[in-house]
Amino acid sequence: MIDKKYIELMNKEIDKVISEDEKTALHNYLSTDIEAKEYYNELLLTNDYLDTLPDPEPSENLKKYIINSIDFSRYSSLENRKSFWNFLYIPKFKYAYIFAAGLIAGIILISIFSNNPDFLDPAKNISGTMGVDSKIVKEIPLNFSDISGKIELIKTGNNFSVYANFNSAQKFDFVIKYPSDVEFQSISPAPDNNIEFTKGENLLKTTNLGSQQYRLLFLKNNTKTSTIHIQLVKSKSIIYEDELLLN
Amino acid sequence: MDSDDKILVKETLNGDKKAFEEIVEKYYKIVYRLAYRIIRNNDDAEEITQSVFVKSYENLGSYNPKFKFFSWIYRITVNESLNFSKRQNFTEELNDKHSTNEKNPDVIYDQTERGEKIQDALMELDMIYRIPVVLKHFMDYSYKEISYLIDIPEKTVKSRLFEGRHLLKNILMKKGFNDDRQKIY
Repeated sequence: MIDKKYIELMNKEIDKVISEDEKTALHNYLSTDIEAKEYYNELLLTNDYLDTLPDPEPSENLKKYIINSIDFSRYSSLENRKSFWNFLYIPKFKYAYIFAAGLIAGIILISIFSNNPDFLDPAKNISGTMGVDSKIVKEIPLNFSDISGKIELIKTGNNFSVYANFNSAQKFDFVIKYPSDVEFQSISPAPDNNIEFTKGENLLKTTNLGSQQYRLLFLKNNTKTSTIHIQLVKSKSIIYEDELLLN
Repeated sequence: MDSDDKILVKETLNGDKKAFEEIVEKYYKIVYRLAYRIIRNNDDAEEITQSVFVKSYENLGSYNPKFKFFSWIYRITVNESLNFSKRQNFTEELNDKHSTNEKNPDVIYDQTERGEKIQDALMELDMIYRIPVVLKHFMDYSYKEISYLIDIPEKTVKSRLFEGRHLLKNILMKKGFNDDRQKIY
């Protein structure tokens, strides 16, 4: 039976975190215990065997796939906003900007003190915009007895994202058939336990239940119009089908 | 090195797409290798790598700069690999997967039969032992770093690593990997 303390020291030596005193103690012990010496040899061999494994290399296209699967509009809108303000701001007119800011502040204060809440009403209508390169190509609201939500097709450069937002009481399949000039990139977030995702040749299928939100990203490298066919299938019956045009 | 990463993170958050591309360039191979060592399947490792970068981009705002950026990204990799493995019931399908030999046809891994057997032995380890062994041996992390990456106490890291090595040794010896033991010590 090998003393547990020395097994720890053997591992510490392999990990190169052993002190000089511990090293001496270990090697003294090994010189007197054949069983421990054999065990130590085998541990060293195991380590050496792992060293013989070469580093696996990913495919050449992996980096491209990663880059294409990221929706870069998330932070780019900040940059665009910054550029917009840089464009508007001309240093030699700084006093004019200060005057204008003061004027606006004055008008706001007067409106508040004059108890005229309607003055600020237009601000209520301000809403966010998408990144400059993104546009909604098609929006399909879903309103069936036990499936609701919507499907959106959004174009960002050469990327087309199909956003699925489903709420369903029963399991159903979302089937997407796409032509060969369209390349499927990714599904995000990655499917979890509540969603089954299968990929065939130019065919994707997700099995959905409950509340699901995800994005399917496609890449298209030509300017021709391509058509993606979508279907919602429940209990082997098509309950909805449509086409999404990528152009 | 890590300060460069933090600058790239900041630039990405300011909308610079190129900065994140630099991050991908810098880490995608390492992330892939880590995922491959944990799950041993090229397609799955590539899928995990893709998902790691999508998630890290989407959650970049929550990255805490007090931690090293690469540790943060490797932590995501370990979690993604574990989640992937759970989803695939990987341990149950292990033998099937090996027999299908799903490898990148452009790349030859572990060319020798010996390499295959060693990697097979590693895959026979339960995840709780395999991950510390992979992080220590192939990534050369300290016990403390592994503790952060897999979110367990340092003491537990050591016990799992040592036990993992012990189990791996036994598996290899059973497979007949003890012929040249006299050469070592």
